[in-house]
Amino acid sequence: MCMAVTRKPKDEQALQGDWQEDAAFQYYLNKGGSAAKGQQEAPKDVRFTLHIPGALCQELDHIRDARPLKISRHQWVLEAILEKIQREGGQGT
Amino acid sequence: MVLVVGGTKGGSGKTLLATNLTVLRAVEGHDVLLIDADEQGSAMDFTRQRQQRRDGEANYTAIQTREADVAVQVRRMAPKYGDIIIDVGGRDTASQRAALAVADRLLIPFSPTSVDLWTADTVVVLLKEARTFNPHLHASAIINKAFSRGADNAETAAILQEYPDHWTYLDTLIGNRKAFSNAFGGGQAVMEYHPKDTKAIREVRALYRYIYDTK
Repeated sequence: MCMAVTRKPKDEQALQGDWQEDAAFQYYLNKGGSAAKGQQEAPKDVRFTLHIPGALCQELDHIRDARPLKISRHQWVLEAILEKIQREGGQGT
Repeated sequence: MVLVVGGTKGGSGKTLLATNLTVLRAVEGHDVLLIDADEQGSAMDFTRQRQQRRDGEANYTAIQTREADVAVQVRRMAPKYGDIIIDVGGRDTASQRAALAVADRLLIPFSPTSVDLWTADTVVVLLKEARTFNPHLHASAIINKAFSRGADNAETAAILQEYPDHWTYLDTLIGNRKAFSNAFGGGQAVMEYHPKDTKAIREVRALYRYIYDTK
């Protein structure tokens, strides 16, 4: 029976006949990257508003003030996020 | 003939050479199919620009496809077109591998810079793998975007000649000339561009003769 609705063909189905059966040829092709994957853009920066208790913020500021070189709250929070990501097994890239 | 303009380094001028060879081949009366297998699609952009300039007539046929379908299209179209020219992206992609599996010739442009030459070994690996499926694939390396002075061109030529088992070095340079990029932007081959750049035209014609007049 002829179906009116079909699934999207997979990439490997573009190969026909002798090639489709040839695992070595498929391996050879797949060693080449997909241009689309290579050209994926890096994720964009995300902005959000952070609400923290005043006391916690004061403590944060005291720690910042104690540094020989001062950094912004924003920078300090970023460092804290990075440290936590790395502690929990992430890359923090 | 099925010609791939390839390599694994972006920015070496593959699209520029592919489109110039396509136009020159078509102008000489051959029925040419240009396959854009680079997802950037610059060869198709060139073709659209050319069609606009020439009332819809590019004087060749162009299609865009990728990955395994490149090989499928070449097999399907080869009996219908005297010449197929495939522009692939500047990376080791499945599209380039598919093209190399069915091509007669590969033209590899290198700019005379270290960063381009450092990709030579990766091209050799790619060629070796492609030749397991296409043992008669003939490869040629050429210096593109050559400098007008300095020793860089000669040094690059010396290094490119160190691979005689893998490719033939073409002893003809394509210069880094503004006429190429200006012509490309207007959908023209360099021989169609005004003011005429006779050196650029001579260089492209020398490359053309090498590709199509030598067996």
